[in-house]
Amino acid sequence: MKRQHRGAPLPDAVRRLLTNTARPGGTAPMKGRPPAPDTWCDIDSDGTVHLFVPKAELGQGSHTLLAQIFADELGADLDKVVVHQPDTDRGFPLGWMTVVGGTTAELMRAPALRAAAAVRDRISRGAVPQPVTIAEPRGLIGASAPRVDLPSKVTGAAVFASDIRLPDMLYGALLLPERHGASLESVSGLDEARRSPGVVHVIADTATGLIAAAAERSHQARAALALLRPRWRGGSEADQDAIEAAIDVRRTPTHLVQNVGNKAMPTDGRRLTAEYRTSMVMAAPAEPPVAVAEVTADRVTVHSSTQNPALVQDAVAKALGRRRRDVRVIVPYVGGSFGRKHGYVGDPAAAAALLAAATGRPVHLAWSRQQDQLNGPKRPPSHHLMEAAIGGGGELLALRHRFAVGDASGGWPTSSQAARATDIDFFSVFGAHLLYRGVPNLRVDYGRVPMPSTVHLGPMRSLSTHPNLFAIESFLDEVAAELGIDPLELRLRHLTNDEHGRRLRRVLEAVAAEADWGTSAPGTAKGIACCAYGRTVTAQIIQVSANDTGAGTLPIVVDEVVAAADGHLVNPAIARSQVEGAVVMGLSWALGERITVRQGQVVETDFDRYAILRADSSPRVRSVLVEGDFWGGGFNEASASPTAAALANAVHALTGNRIRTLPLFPPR
Amino acid sequence: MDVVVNGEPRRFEAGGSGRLLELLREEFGLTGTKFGCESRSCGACTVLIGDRATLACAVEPASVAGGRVTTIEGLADGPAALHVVQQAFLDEQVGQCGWCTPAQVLTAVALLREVADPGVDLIRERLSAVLCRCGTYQRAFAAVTRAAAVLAGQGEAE
Repeated sequence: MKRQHRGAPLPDAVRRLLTNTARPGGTAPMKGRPPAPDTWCDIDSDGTVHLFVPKAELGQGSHTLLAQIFADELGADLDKVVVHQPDTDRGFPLGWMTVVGGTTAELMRAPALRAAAAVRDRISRGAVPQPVTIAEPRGLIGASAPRVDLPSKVTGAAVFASDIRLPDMLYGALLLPERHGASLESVSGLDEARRSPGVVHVIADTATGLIAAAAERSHQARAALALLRPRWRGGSEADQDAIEAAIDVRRTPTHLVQNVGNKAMPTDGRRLTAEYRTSMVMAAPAEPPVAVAEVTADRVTVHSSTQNPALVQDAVAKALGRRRRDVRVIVPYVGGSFGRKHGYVGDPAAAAALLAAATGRPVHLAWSRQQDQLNGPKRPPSHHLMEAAIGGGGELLALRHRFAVGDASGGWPTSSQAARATDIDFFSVFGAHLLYRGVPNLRVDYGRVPMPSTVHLGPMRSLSTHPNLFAIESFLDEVAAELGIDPLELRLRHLTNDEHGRRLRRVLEAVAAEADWGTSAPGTAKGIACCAYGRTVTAQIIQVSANDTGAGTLPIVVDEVVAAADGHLVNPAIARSQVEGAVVMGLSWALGERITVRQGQVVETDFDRYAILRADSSPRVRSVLVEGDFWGGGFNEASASPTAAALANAVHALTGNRIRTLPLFPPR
Repeated sequence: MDVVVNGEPRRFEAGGSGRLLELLREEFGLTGTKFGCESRSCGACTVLIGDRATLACAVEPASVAGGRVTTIEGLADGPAALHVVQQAFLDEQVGQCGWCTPAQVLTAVALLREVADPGVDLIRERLSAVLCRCGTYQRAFAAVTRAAAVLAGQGEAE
């Protein structure tokens, strides 16, 4: 009997977002009226071009890409361009200032080109006397220009929000509950804390649960908080076993995500099934969340380590009872984010502003690492049932992917809100589609598992593409083994001859050629996987060998990752570095990163227990940039995505052991 | 108490309970030294005490009294003259977010002062003290290898 999906199908807007790998040209529509062209730049009498950008530099190289794009169209030399950090006072629509999904270059290229062209025209008409010599476009787009941010980053001169130093500035600290969802009942010890050396102010608000102190130095603020005795009520008591038991697609109502062929799974012929699970992981950016706030009678200024100045502005305005337009948000260099600093929950800006308002002095406030591990967002756990039907002649008749994911949309108040009305956290559906449209029957069903009181879930780099592809692309290898054909051949054979299929074929063939697929040195083995994420397609081949030396804790050594990617290419050198970095994060999630919960509390509160890949286990990464026919998407999310499956496939090829749980080698 | 930081004599009060990290960042305004874990596991706060790479979050200020501390700000001979390791990190375009870059650079400087030609295994081992969430490791290996070669060349030229 044909299975019925119980929920509504995906809304069209969500479906388009998820399946647009073959949509050529242009950019997604940007919300907000384009600002006046000179919002983007001021030009000095010596010809220096001050470029004002709407989006923060999180490490992805976006300020260099925007400088290249703008300077190319303006006809200016890149070394005449000085990039200034995003600032809500500059006049860009707030919606342009959010940094998500590796989309900065893709989304901002057209607006930047239009603005630069307008500025150039005004200069060349003499409408604005400017000292810039206008030249033809310089071929900067597509050039491997050196990054504009690195000179200051190697000397320590680069300013992150953590590094803002204002006159009379105080240092704050927070006391957060150790269990997710706990509320504050009472706090004692306030008098002692307020008398503690260097302390200027202590907030303990049972209505909001905020406990914070501001002092002359940060250790004094922490010492004051250590004197407090808060009583927390409630909060999560979940254990890891209960969380894993809750993530079960067999017990979760599902939505139909993809349906090709529209047939039930054939019942004749052979059938192959496998179950996969993934664990919670974290983005864990190097710089913890931080904000510096300065509050005066008519103005609030916040220097924030954020991807989303609009949400920081909103949170600060609400906390202080001010108007949004009275809150200015500046985003200095961000010490990594990967989705962590999305600005909605777990951001210190509002607390910093409350301390600044209470003391009349600027306040610097950062979360500690332990606080972030305990309270920061986790990528939701997932459960996948894979199924294949194989005909009598050994042909692949049907593929099915049924999966359930913890709901991470509570940490995100934007487009997913519309989708939530239909019980969809659409971040979970990224990467869930079956790419092999040459298979006659494809079906994907998704179930949302709400876990609001258990643990703080949130979106992060590559969203659910990493776990979804772990299941799908691992299973493809299981199917190939069942059919007795080469895993690359199986993939190529089932790609369609449309733009979608051609793009995937190009990256698969490119990576296979670069990695000498089909050959293995003695004692080594290779695994392959591919991915479509947004408008980017990637394929990777990973080579592993046995860990004969016994060094480290892993049974295997990851020798090399070869990654081919077709995305939005502005600067090949930056694209390569993004591919390399994303691969390392994708590997780290796959090898050993795992968050577990005991009695409502995260166990992995430091980097000894939370095993992020270090230099001594880091492989060679070689990248192949495939020239696409149109503007693809960013490289930095797609390239983290197929890595887990390519690794699991390589491990299977080496050891015969098919591991169906992420991480593959959890620390004991 | 007195300490020489980046070649300059500095004075600080004895008896505070903050660590060297806080003294550098909050008292001396040297924010090139970063922070990140408070559990001696991320390496972002690496500075040189004498020639040794040391975690500033784990050091009492009193223990450096009379000593010599070098932070990333004190590595270049001047704004126009980068240290060989800094130049190598630029040449290899190592950094992304840049948060751990000062620690990577100082770890490499300490290594090259100790071992002129460390080889890739020792480079990998020493750089493992600094977590890089952006995953810039292989570029950092290349930069340290390049810096070692440049320093060897300078040695021969002298």
